[in-house]
Amino acid sequence: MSKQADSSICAYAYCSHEQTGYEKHFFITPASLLQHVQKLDELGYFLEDITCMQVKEGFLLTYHFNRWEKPGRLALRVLVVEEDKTIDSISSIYPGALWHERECYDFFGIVFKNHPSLIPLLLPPEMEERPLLKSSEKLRDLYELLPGCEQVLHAPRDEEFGQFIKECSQKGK
Amino acid sequence: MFDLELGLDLSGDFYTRHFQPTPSEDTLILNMGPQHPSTHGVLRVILEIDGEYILRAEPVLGYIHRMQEKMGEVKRYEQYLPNMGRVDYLHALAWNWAYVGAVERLMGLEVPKRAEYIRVITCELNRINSHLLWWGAYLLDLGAFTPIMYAFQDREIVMDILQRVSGSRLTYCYYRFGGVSQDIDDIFIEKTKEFCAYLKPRLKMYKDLVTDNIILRKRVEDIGIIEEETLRKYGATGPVLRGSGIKYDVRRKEPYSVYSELDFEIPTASSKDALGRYLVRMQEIEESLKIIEQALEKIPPGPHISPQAPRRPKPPRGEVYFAVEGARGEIGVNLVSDGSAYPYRVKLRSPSFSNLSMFPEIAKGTLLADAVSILGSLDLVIPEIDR
Amino acid sequence: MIGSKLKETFDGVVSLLIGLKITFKNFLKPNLTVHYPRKTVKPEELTGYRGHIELVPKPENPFVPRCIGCGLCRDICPSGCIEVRSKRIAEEKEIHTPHFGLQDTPLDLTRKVAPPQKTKIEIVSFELNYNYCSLCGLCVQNCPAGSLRFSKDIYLASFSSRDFEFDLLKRLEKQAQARLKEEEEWTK
Repeated sequence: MSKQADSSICAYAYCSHEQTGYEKHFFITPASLLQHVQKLDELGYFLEDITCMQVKEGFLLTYHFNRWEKPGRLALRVLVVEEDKTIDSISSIYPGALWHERECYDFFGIVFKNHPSLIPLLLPPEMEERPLLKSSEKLRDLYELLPGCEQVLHAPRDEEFGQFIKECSQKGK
Repeated sequence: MFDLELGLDLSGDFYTRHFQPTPSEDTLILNMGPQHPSTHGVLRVILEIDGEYILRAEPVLGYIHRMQEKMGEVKRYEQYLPNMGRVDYLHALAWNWAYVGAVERLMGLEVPKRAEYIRVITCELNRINSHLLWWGAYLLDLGAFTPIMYAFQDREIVMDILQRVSGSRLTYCYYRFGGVSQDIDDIFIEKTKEFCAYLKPRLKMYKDLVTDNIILRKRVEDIGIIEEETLRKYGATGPVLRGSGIKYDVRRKEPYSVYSELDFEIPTASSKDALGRYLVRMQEIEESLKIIEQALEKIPPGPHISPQAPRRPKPPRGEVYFAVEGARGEIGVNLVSDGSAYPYRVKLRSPSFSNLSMFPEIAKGTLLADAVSILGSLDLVIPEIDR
Repeated sequence: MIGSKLKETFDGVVSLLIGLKITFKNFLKPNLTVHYPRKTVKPEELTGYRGHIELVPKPENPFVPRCIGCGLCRDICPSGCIEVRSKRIAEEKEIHTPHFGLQDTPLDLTRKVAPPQKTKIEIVSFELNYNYCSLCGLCVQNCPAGSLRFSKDIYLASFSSRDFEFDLLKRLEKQAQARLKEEEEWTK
């Protein structure tokens, strides 16, 4: 991934593997997700998992990638806002994402566009509720929950950062 | 799909209806599982077959889904420990390790050297146990009944050894934040050494009895070939990956604990088929024995749990990822803390989940009987997939 | 073609003979399994095994548990299967009579001369619902008084789940009585 200030990258950070288990992480805009995943595919990364987390600003989707030869965990983070819980499916590039995305749909109700069969995977098909959604008093701000990494494009861990990411994720819509 | 005479709805349940057959007269939709003996637990696979050949396959999951991730959010850090023994009941200690490792990383907690060695020894013993059960059960799938009896005979010894220190025989809850719950004693060390000496000739016997057997070879050779590209796109790890010749092992590539001080190989096989995965697992047992012997030599005296170990941890806010190598591949625990006594989010990355997601791809065009062989060679543990 | 077929047959026979040899060797080995319930596992093989928890008595009185009623075990139990109820009993107040010269004063001096009230904790009930227990051992490790330990009761079977709701105080009493009986017989 290019290190220049790409407008689709809101922020990126290098982490200490000892402390967090990550090597670097990128905040990107939802619109540019496929493009970045495509780049990672070309670089020979494999998909570890896709996880989602509910925060005050919306839903933070994290795609974990790793490499066989030169391991270093990379996290692609996308913020999906509450009003529009949709994001592109990356299953056309990584078919392994099919199940991970269905799992996120099960637990959080996030809709993945262009997913061939977005049906419940682990939960019963008739189940309506999304078990991992939190009540509003339990929700935390995004900046509170980030790993202890050095944010490069913006100051780490303050309230502005969360707002910045939120605005950034609205770009290109 | 509606039988007028009997008045029965034959269109099946939600998943079968979703799995629309191709408009052809020759194909048949077959439902394998969830109680099929070869699916080990409650995995269900919907198959579309043309004669004996599989055209499409679609695993249906969730029959023993327990919402482990939600349980993680409603229990305190230390209360979640026993859950880890139940995610993957065959390699429970690796899950124990992944979770306590994540919490230790979050808190920056130092683990005493002795505890790290105890963890290595017990985790590798557990890995041997898991591989032995896979070996017996896989051969049972392929029609050989006796090997599982031999495997269980060996497993009993390991379970006795592990029971001495951990108190349980299957669903261990042994590791604690900052160490382990109980120190090992001389009898444990002695018994483990005895076991290492005992298993080596047994492994040779297994090779003579099973691995070199012509019937097994016919059932596994050139069956279920998985290409590198497929493995990467689906994120397969563990022996499934190494069976296709890729040297990726978390113990070596992302070293945790004291694995970097120990000398062992990562076995790989270049054949990419079920036999490759079989051989990798058998060699891994030998490597595990090597690790255990070295660790028993090197184990230093000292405390088995860190004196700073908190009984009720309240980690600082932040997020960590901790990966360990389980018997089935890379186990990852992604833990998010908001600074309270309850985790904010626990994500469990189970290796079998990714490995099984490959199945529709590799089963395409194979014989139905071979699909059983392929499913077995992936070494699935359903509780780990469903979580 | 015929050559390869012959080789295959030969290999098959060799595999079969090797298998038969190993099977025959094992056939002559002694039985390894324990025929439960006619036989049970030897007690020394149960070292470290966790049965359900039980109370540890005080060294001076086998009828009273060491438990101080703090409730840490109940708090930490992941399945919430421990229920402890305790009550504080005030010990008899020992009142010193005030100096006889002061007895007739209108002030109530009796309270002032009494020593601070001593309380004792008595465990009213200690119940374990073994149905939900996952034998993690967190309660045993967290007990500050060392009042819990694992029992060796492992051959438990019943048709009703009610049979696994244990009253650990009663269990302790039974154990203490059995111990007393044993000691009596020993002294005879």
